[in-house]
Amino acid sequence: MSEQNKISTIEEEKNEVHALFHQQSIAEFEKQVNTVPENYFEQFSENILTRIQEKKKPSLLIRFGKLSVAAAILFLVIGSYFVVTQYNMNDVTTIAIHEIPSAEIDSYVSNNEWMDDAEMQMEINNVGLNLDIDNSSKDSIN
Amino acid sequence: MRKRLSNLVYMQSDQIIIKAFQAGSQKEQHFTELVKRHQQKLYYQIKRMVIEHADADDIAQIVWMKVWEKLDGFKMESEFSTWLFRIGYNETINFIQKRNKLAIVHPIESSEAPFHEASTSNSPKSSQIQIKLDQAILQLPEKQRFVFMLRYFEELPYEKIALITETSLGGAKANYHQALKKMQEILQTD
Repeated sequence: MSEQNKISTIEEEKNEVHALFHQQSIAEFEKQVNTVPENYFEQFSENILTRIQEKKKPSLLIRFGKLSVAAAILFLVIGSYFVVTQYNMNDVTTIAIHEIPSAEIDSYVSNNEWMDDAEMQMEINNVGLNLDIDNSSKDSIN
Repeated sequence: MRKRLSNLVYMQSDQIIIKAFQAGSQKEQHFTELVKRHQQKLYYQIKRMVIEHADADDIAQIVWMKVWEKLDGFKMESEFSTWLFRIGYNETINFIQKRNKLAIVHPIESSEAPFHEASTSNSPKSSQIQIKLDQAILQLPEKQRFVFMLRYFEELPYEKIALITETSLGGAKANYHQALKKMQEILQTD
């Protein structure tokens, strides 16, 4: 279809519309469409670019949100470390030897004496065994 | 012939700007140039659909932001203006459908008000004709309305309208004629 035919078709179609609606009414409709605030189109591209830049940057809330989450985790880790160490330090009580009553020392020694004896006996046995081994080796040489 | 030639030159210069944008240097400058070339036609088409300036402005901004995001991937298989109007069409239809859903929930707050409801027209008769026209246009289904506006006001060929509205050539023609028929019916019933 040629350009001329296309145009005439559009014209024909427009005439059909004008038969329905007064041409002036359509012109009025278009006039209303074309009414825009002052400098709207002059500032439009600038407004778009500003919105694009804003979209590119992560918002302050997101940035500070991430920072605050990281800070909270760090605070929890450090805080719990201090709490635990403080608790352990409080739990271990240090007493000088002269502060312990001698009766308590005596009772501790007597209570633990048999264990001490048993340990000593084991040591002797071990040493004795070793000595035997040494002797047997000497015997065989001799 | 002259019109066709000037369209071709315009189209080619669009491609030059887009290639420069895609090359990566001075993106904002090239984008601004594209906006300045096409902003009015796009805005007017959207405003014919949604009537209110604030709505048309919102939709136009969304469309241009999408263009910014997707222009690097634009392969120039179609004219830039076709692609732009297709995004515009989709965004406008989305907006109207959302507004219609809202209108069901809040019927008073959101409804399409014709331009001339409160206008001070020359005479009561012309005012009535104007209101009838507005109402007839607003009562059309969105797609038919969009096609009608593109054909009547933008004088686009049906081939291009079909590409914009993602329909067949026959479908685009049918939409236009159905719109006209429907407006006729609306006028007769009043």
